[in-house]
Amino acid sequence: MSGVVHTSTAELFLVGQDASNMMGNPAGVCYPTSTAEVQEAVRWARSKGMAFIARGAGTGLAGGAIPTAGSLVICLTKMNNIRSVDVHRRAAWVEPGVLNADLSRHTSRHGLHFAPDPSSQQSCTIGGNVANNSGGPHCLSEGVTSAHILALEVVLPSGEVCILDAENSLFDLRGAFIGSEGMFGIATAIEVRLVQNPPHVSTMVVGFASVHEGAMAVSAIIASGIIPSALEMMDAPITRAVEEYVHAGFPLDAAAMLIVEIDGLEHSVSDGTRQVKDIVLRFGATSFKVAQSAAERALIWKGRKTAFGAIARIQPNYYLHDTVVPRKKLAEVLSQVSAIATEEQLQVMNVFHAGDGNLHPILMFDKRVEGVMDRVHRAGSEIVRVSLEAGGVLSGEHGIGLEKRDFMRWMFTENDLLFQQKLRAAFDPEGISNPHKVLPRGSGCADASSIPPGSWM
Amino acid sequence: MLRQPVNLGSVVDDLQYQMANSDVVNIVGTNSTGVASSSPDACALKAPSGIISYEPDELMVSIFAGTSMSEINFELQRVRQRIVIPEWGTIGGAIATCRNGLRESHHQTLPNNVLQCTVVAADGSLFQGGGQVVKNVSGFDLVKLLVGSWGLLGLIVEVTMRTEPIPQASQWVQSPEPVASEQISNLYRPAVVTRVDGVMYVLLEGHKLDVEQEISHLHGFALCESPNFIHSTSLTNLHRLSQDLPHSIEWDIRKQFDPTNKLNRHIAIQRNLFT
Amino acid sequence: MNKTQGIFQLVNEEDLNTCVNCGLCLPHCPTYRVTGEDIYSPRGRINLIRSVKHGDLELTKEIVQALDTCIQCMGCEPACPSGVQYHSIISPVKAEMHSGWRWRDAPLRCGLYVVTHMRCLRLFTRVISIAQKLKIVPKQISVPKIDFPRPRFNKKPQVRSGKEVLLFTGCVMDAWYRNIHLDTITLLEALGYSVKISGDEYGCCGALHEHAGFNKSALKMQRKMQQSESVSTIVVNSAGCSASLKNALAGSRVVLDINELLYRHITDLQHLLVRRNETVLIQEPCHLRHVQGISKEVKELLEISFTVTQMEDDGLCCGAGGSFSFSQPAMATAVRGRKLDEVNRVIISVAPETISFIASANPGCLSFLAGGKIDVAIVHPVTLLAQSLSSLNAIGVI
Repeated sequence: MSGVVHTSTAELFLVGQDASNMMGNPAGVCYPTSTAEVQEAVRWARSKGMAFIARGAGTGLAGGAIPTAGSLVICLTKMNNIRSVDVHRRAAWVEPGVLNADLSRHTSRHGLHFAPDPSSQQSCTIGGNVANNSGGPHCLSEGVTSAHILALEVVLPSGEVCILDAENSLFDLRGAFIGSEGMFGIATAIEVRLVQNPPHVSTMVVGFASVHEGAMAVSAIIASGIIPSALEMMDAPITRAVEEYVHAGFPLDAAAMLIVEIDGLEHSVSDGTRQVKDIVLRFGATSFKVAQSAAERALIWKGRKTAFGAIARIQPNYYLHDTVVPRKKLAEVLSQVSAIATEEQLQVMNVFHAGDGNLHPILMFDKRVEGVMDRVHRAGSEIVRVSLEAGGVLSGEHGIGLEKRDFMRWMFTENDLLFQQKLRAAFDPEGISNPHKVLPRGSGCADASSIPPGSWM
Repeated sequence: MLRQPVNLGSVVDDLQYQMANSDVVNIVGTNSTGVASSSPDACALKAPSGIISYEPDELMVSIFAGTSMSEINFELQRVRQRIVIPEWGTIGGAIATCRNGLRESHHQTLPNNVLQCTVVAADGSLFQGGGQVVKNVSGFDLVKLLVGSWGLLGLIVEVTMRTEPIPQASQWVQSPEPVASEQISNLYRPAVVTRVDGVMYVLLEGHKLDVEQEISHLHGFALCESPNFIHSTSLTNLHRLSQDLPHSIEWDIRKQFDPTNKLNRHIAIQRNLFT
Repeated sequence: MNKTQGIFQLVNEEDLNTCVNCGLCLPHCPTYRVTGEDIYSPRGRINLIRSVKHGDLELTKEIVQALDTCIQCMGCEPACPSGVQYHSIISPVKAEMHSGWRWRDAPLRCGLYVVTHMRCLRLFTRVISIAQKLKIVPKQISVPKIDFPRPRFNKKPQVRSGKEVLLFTGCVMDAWYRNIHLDTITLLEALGYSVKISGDEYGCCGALHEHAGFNKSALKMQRKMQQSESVSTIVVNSAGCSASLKNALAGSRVVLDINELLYRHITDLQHLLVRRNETVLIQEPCHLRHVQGISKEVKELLEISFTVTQMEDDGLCCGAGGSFSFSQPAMATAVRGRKLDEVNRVIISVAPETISFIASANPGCLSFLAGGKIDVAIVHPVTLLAQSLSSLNAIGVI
């Protein structure tokens, strides 16, 4: 192989981790710079009987980028060119290592942006967004990554290169590939859809005296026929932690805070803002503020998007969850989550995409305290259980990865999983592309092969 | 925690019987595509019909796949909601053929609005993809695979769709003359932009005053009724499908999902997918 | 106690624990930006330091390389939502790695010796200026075009009665950029200050040494400064030095970066400066923006006279990093390449023909950037402001 496979302990140690609490033990890492080099790396891994795993910035929270023992990490961060921007069609071909925020920054001069905006958008790569079908606050109105990918150039686990494109194939292989967490192959070029920047934006910060009232207001806003571009909720502890360093003017006396954003043409924004104000006041809002400038808006979003990091200021470790429940169950599930945390003697904070019903309870702890990890994991499974009981799903945007693969049976029947496995088998019959993720262990669905550590070396 | 399956026993029995007793099993809605008639000897399978549950506040509706689009939208319109799919045929047919209409805006395109599908597989078993929430990345995306799968992967019996509020104002405009492309690109996210027989049609939706304002910026356009050209797509779509793209993956998926190669076989043949 | 366990013990465990591996620092790290490799990122470096400290990893040459290539621009600190104090992790590590003799440090130690000893520096400067005329300066030494003979300070201060400040002249700044000192004095006097020159009495402040991890030498110089009799307010026009002096003299003297001081007089300056029909692109030194949090000040000052544009790279480092460009030339050049790409992008996209100056308030950035290929003059903001004074006659009158 002409590309270099790095095997230093330090590098392998680092690419064995992502932003989750898990760790893998890969056998090598390489940094291809072209589709041909990715192809070469995949073929090389095949020839050695190794599994391979694509890696972007390693900001995933579900362990989807944790390599299995003895696998080859194919790190795509050096493939970071924006190949072309077609302003007329509002589309761009980019390489997988392009950072999400860089793409929008690059296209801003044309008044366009890439809509998915996960909170890690300054660091995370478009390739990672494709693998996880990433969301973000603004996917409430814009849709998730899948709605913004037109075509993919993919290196299949067989080593072949093909274009997956919704319009020219019988099945929507593009749609099936997005969100497959790197288990169907490696995307080496991505055609993204770009959307027009909204001419008017109204960002509101609303305080409530209770989480329950806030959650009721969320349902009411959606039910009224307004689709805000974003509808986020933060509870009191996280609001206070964030306000301490962002100084965005968040209401410190409120038990819950909503960020409501409406964008679009002039009248829909001004009317929408008025309607939202009426609704939240009806549901007992204790404060209501509209951002007066772009700078003020930016500060609000900075506070929201870096919120989870503020937790390190309270406790050294956290476990950030991700489940989705029907909006009408928000209040109920939130109080269950809080009861679960109390039961396990853990602190919990909530900062989440309320408009989608996408919960992100954050359990805070100090992992040096004996036995705490057991309590954290118990609380974690309980949160998953109550979310599913409320009619929800396992994950809204972080993916299944290693973290939740064994919960898959709680949501799907054995036959559902079998058909998911069938789809995977069509792309990767040998199970060598990021094996052991998503599908649960111990069934016909899971990857059977396991590569013993270091066997290829 | 596992979902309670609706009683689909008769559909499953039908499918199993037909799969056992004939060489080709057609899945038919209203046959609005005209594809089913191409194999007169085949047995035909229909999905049940009717709305299962509708929660306007959640912007979500669950429907049996054999329900006609007109029935669905009639029900939705009572609370000023809709599903943006051309109003003909069944919802199952629309999903199986990915009958998108001409919507520009991605959040109105069909694949992004199907939240969950329940399918009777070729072996008579039931499987489900997706979930009954608006945002979901749990497991592989079987829903996207099923949208536009032309009945080759199983009989879609039940779907959950995302609905949307009907906008305050909705106005078509047309221009028979060539239109400068800046005129169109200056519009903020028009719902439809299309050209038919040299005539440019644009649909603007949203707040009444915004729509009026957008129209006032257009030159050489006249207001018009909703044009009738949407009814002409599907078959041509099918032929447009390219022959040589990741052939083996499509073939493998079909083989995995229907090893008997009986479901909608005529479409597979027409596609040259299996020889 | 074996050797591994003894390593990096000075790094505070709490500081290491604050990092939760989220990766939000990655794009703000210049070395990660140009390599895309985790080992060259703040998250990676913290992880390695922690593991070496805990004895989970041995201090291999790859890890030493990863730590040596940290420019310490501190771009990661403001980007970190968890508030990791990266400087308090990397500084003791750098110091520990440089506490013993390493042959590869020899050229660097040599260079730092020169800047600390003003006579040597002047001799070196003279040699370089001759070498420049002969065009035989090695690429690794990025030295600006040096005026010879050096312009002289005016012996008699123009303003006697005003508030007294001490202009810290430093080492390289004085040897290579005395013009900037003269411009600084012009501006300060226009604002009514009586300016004293620190001169050779103080010499180098030790910022370069401290930055490179030679803490012992740095301490020696800092002590010298603390003990010397002097004016209570010290003004510094090199961002690297002002950052370091603020820290070293905290409590005993008021240290102000020149931009900070001028910004306090922005209303006066609005009357003193004339409007010019030129556009300035600001290059923000890391030690000004990330370490001292001074950013809008420079912009607003320059906006009095100029149209100002900025880069869209969140103040990513240019690669100079004190002596970094000397000790890690390959990495520094790669980082500078990225900076120059951004400069060129702005030049092309924002205002094709109109960018007249690039302003940078740090000598390291000035000389290192000038070593790259840019067709625009790179100057200190003070120079631009001094040249925009409405009437030079006004000096001393106010």
